[in-house]
Amino acid sequence: MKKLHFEYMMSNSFDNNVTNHRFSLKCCPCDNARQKVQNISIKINNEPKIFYDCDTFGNKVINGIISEPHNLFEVIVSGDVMTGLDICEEYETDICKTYTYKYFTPFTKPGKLLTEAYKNSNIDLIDAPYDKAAYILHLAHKLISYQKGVTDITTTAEQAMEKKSGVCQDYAHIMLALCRMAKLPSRYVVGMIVGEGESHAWTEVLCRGIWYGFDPTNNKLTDDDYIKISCGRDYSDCTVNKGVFNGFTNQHQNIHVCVTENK
Amino acid sequence: MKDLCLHTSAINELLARYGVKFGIYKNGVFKEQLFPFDSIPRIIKKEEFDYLEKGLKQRVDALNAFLADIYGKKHIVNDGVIPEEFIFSSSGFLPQCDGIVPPKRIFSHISGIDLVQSKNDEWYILEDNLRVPSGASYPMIARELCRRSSPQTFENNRIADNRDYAQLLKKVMDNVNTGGINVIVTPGRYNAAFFEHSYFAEKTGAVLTTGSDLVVENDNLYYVDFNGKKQRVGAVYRRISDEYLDPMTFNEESVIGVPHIFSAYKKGNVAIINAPGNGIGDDKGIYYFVPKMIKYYLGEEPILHNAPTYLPYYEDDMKYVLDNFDNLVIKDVAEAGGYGVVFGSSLTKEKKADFIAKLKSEPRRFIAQEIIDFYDIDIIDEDGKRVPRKADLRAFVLTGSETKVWKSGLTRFTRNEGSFIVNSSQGGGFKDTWVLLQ
Repeated sequence: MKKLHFEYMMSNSFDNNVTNHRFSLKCCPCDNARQKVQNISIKINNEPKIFYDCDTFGNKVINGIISEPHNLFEVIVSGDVMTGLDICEEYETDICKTYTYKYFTPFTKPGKLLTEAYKNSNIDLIDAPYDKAAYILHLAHKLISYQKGVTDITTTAEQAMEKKSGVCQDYAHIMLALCRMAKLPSRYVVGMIVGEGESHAWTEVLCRGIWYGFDPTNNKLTDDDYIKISCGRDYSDCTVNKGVFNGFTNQHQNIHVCVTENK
Repeated sequence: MKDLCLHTSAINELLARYGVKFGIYKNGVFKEQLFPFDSIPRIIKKEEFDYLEKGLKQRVDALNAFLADIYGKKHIVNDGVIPEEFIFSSSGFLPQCDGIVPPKRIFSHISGIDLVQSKNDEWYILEDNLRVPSGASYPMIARELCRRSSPQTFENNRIADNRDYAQLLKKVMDNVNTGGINVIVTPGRYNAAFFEHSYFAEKTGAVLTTGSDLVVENDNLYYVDFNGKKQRVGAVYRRISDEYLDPMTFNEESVIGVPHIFSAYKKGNVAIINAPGNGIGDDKGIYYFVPKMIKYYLGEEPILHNAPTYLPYYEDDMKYVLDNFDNLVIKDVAEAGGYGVVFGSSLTKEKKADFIAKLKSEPRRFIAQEIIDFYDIDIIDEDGKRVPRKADLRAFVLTGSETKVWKSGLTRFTRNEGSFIVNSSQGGGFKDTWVLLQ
C-alpha cells in the first residue's frame, strides 16, 4: 500500500488561433478496489464551460466548450491516490458488462502472425484462467521488443507483430488479442506509474469474476506503483483528448506525467 | 387505372421537376439520377393488409423489445436463445449505447420492413431496416401527383389515403420529444435521399438542419438559426448514420455530426430517432433469430415468416448449404443495398470453390436463403409494352404511443428481365402501393 501523488499535464498548441473548440477528456483516475483518489484538482486554461459525463466503460469524461479564439489548450490534473488497497483491480458481479471485452476490435484482430504465435504456444493446455493470463503476459512480453518511434497510435496488434517492436500500447494490444483468442475477457488500461515521463498502458484480464492487472511491457503484475486512469476495449476507447474546432492550423500535443511517493 | 397510365410520362416529368432524385456514388463520383416511377400500382386487398398489419406490428414490437433487452439486461443471451457472439462480434452492436434507455423506451420509431410475395401468395420477410430506412416520401409524392393527373381513378376506387404519413411521423416525434422543437438532421444536399429529408421537414413542420447548426451546451441540444437565436431541441429525426452522429463518441473524423449530442441523449435531454445502436436489430445474422424473439418476448407464434434461412455457423446448416449451394442465395451480413449478395448457381467452378473456402473460414459472416420465386407485377417498359417484373414491398411501421403500419408502402421493381435485385441504389424503379378499404 502506498500513497502516491500524481500530476498529469496535457497541452495542445496550435499554430493559428482556433475557435468553437469542443473537447472530451478522459484523464481523471477513479476509485476502484485497488485505488482511492483524493484531493483531485482539474485545471483547464481558457475558462471553458464544463459538463461531466461517464462513458459506458465506467470512465469519467470531462466535456467542454471554449468559444473564444485561443492557441493553447492546457489541462493539468493532479491529486493523491492510495494504491495497492487490494490484490485485484475490481470485482465484476454483472456478467452483462463483460461480453464486449471478449471479442476482437480493429486494433486487436489477429492476423497471420498472431494466429501463428497462438498456435505455437501452450495456452490451450492450461486450465485456470489466471494461469492462462499469466502465461500470455510472458508470451506477449517476448513477442516484440521495446522500441520507440517504430509504431504510432494507429498501429494494430498484428502490425506491431510485423515490426517485431513497439511501445506499451502495442504490448497491451498484443496481450488483448491473445487473451481474446483464448476467450478470456480482457481490457485495455491507460494509467500512470511511479516516475516521470509519459502515460502508460497495460491490460486487465477477467479471471473467475475478478479483474487482474498485467503489464506486458514490463512483464509483471500491476502493483501499488500503478494508477489506473481509464479502460476500454482497446486504445480507441481510452483516447485522452478528443476535440473538434474551427480553424486552419497544425497542432502539437505534449503529455507529461509525474508520479511520486508521499512519505 | 388506364387513364392514370396515360399520365405516366407527365408524372415522371413532374417528379423530376420536384427534385425526386436518387444520388448514387459510383467509383467515387456522385451521380444523381431520377427514380423512375411506374403508374401501375401494387394493389393490396383489405383482408390481406389486415393480416400484414398484424404481422408487422408483432415483428416490430418484438424487435423493440429485443433492442431494449440487448442494451439492458441481455436476458435473451443469458438464456441461450441467441449465441453471444452473434451480438457482440457484430459491428451492429455499439457498446457505447449499453445501459442507455431512450425516451419512452422506444428504439425503432420508424421501421422499414422489406417483404416479398411468392408465387403461392405467401408473404415473406426479406429484411428489417431499423436504422434510417428511407423511401416513404416517394409513394407519398407520387400519390399526390397521381391524384392530380387522374382524380377519377381515386373517386372510382376505394383506396386508403397515404398522405397521412407526415402526421404519423409528427406524432412519433412528438411522442418522444423531451421539450423543444423537432428537427430533421440531413448530411446535406448531396445525400442520396436529400429530397426525402426536405419533403418530410416541409410536411411535418420540423426544422431541416445540418449538424453544423446544432450545438450542445450543459447537456442540452440547441438549434441556432440564421439570426443566432437558440432554440432547445427535444427530438432529432436524424438522417445520418450512427458512426457520424457524434465525433466525440463515434467516428472522430465526422464533420456532419454534432459533438456531445450523445451525452445529451444519454442523460435523457433529447430523443434521437431512430435510437443509436439499432444496427444490431437489423443485422442479417440476427434476422434468423427474429421468429425466436417473437416467441421469447411476446409469447406468440410469428404471423409473418422469414424466407427459409440457414446459418452456416451451425454445423447442420453448413452441411445443408454445401449440399444445396446452387439453389441458395448467400448474403454477406456486413453488406447492404443489394451488395454482397451471391446466387450459388451464378458462380463459375473456380469462383464457387473460392467462395466456399471463404464460407468455411468465416461462417459467422454469411447467411444462406432459399430463393423465393416472387411475384411479378406488370410495368410499362420503355417501348410502352406491358411486361412483368420482380417487385418487393417496403412497409413502414411507426412506433409512437402505439405501433402503426402505414397504409401504403414503397414498391420497388427491377427494370431488368430476370433480375431479383430491386434496390434503388442499383437503378430500380418504384410504384405506388394501394391498400384497398373494402
